[in-house]
Amino acid sequence: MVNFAPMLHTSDLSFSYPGGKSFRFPNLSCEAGARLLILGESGKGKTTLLHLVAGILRPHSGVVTIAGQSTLAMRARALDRFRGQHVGIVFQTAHFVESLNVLDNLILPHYLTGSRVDRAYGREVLNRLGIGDKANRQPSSLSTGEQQRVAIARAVMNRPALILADEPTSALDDRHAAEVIALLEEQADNTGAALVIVTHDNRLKERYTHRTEL
Amino acid sequence: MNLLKIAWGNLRIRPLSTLLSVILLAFGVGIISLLLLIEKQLSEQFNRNIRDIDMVLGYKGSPMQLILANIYHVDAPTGNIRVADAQKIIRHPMVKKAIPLAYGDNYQKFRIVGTTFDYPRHYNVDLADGHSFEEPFQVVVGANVAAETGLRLGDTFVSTHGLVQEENEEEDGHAHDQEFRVVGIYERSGTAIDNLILTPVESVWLIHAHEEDHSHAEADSASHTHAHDHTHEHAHHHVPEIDPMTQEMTAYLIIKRSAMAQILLPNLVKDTDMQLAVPAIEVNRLSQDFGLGMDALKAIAVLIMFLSFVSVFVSLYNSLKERRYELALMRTMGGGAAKLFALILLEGLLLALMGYACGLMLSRLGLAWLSSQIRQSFHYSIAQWQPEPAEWYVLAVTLLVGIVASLLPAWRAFRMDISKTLSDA
Repeated sequence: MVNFAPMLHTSDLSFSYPGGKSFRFPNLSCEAGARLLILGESGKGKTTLLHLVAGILRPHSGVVTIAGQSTLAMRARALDRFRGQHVGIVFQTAHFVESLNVLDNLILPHYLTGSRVDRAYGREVLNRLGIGDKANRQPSSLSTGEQQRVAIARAVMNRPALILADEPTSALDDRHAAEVIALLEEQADNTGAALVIVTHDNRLKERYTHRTEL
Repeated sequence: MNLLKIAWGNLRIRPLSTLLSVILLAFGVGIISLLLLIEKQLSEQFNRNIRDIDMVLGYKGSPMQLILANIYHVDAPTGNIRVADAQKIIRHPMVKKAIPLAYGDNYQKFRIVGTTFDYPRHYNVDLADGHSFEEPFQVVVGANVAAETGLRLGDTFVSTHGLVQEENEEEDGHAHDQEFRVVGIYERSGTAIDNLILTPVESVWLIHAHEEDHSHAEADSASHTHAHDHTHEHAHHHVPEIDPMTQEMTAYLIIKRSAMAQILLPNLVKDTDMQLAVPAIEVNRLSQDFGLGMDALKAIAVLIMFLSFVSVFVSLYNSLKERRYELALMRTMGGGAAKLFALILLEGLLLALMGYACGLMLSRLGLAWLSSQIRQSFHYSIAQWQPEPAEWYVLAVTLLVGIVASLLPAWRAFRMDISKTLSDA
């Protein structure tokens, strides 16, 4: 697929919480296979911006285009499905459906978006992340580092066009932070996805040239 | 991977609250279904045994007791009436048929009843083996009697005095020397005959005549054991002729010829020591009394169902609070709000189904236990394992409880603010 438009593009996004803060966000743009770092202190609306991009929140104004499609024009159910198929999200702390084992958690995005459930691919991704032997374990029995890997694996199960990472490193020490970033980049490269990292972690500042500060 | 797997998993990782909901549901369903089964079994037993018997003629006393003793054979008889006195009723043109019943003794707690062929014929009870009783001291035993006492064709036994053997009498019981011979065994019919030993009326009269001869010897010692001589086994072959008119009968089962009988006949017994009881009326009264107890139990069952409703609701609601993040996560992975709604609803339905299944098992076990208790004292079996049509309504109600209880939690999952839930964690 040849696509000259950027994988992610936003313009004039603004949002205000009922009776609370209002935000106006700078425009974002990120090509397929590229990385974008969004830096901002606490309270600058980082998570809000990420939710707006992912379509979890609806902005008061502005446009979000992912893989050439304007997400805000979509109806709720279509948006849920589009997000599941095209956007992989990695949260600061890994969460899972506790009643399912690791492998079932991985294939959950397949099931939820209504695509073919591909357990083999789930195992392949686990192996690639070096935790292939944990497939049948309960997520809560894994170490924090392993959980973070499974969360990253889950984000790429649907081979998304865009990977959004919310503070993926801020709770980690230098070594683990570097590992997670490497892993994220590797997975983004594997699927040719645009990688957008939202963080206040200044350690990442040097690593990326394409930056936006809030 | 499907919703069922996720729903089942969610119930499994909260075993305690799941267990509580299932147990409460099971008890609610169990009691209701047990009541349904008991009601059905009892009314079947009642009606099967009444079968077109319009009235029972017997000694005065409680009409209920007369019915219980002579139709169901569970209570003591009210007393005996003279055959001569009964003639004006049983020979009345409005009476189509009168089946005589004379209570005799018992054999291993099974009642020996003197009667005619009309009695088994009226209930359409056929012989499984042998032939019908023809002479005094020949007996045909009911299916349960044969099964529990092990009596077979050609066996002889000695009866024990009284209707029911007393516990302390079992070994050294006060036994008659007259032997009964089994000439036939009835098929199982589900009627009182299953538990009776039938013999010609004369057997009972002869035993009683015999009894009176001995009455002086027996007067002072009820538990005294006689040393009988068994030299003449076939005593009934040389029995003297008995004039029925001098004898007594416990009751007559009356089938009327015209509707007027119900109105006119009672007048004929007004100033005698006899009474005419109407089975339908007594059974109706019994079911009403019984119904009161049933209603109380039903109210308890409904209360338990309500508690289980609350339990399912609280269980799902708490589980929802714990799983908010999980559910929000599923939304970010492409799961629609409707899917989450269905998931929570499914969990409620699963709880309801499990509760229903356990409840049905409970009711069957309860009924089997009750049946074994009743068998011991009344020789009636009320066990039933197959489903009862009314239990489909119970299923519908149980599922409704599951659905309604999960509706609000499901709605909250449907309406969840994903962004806020994810940010709050």
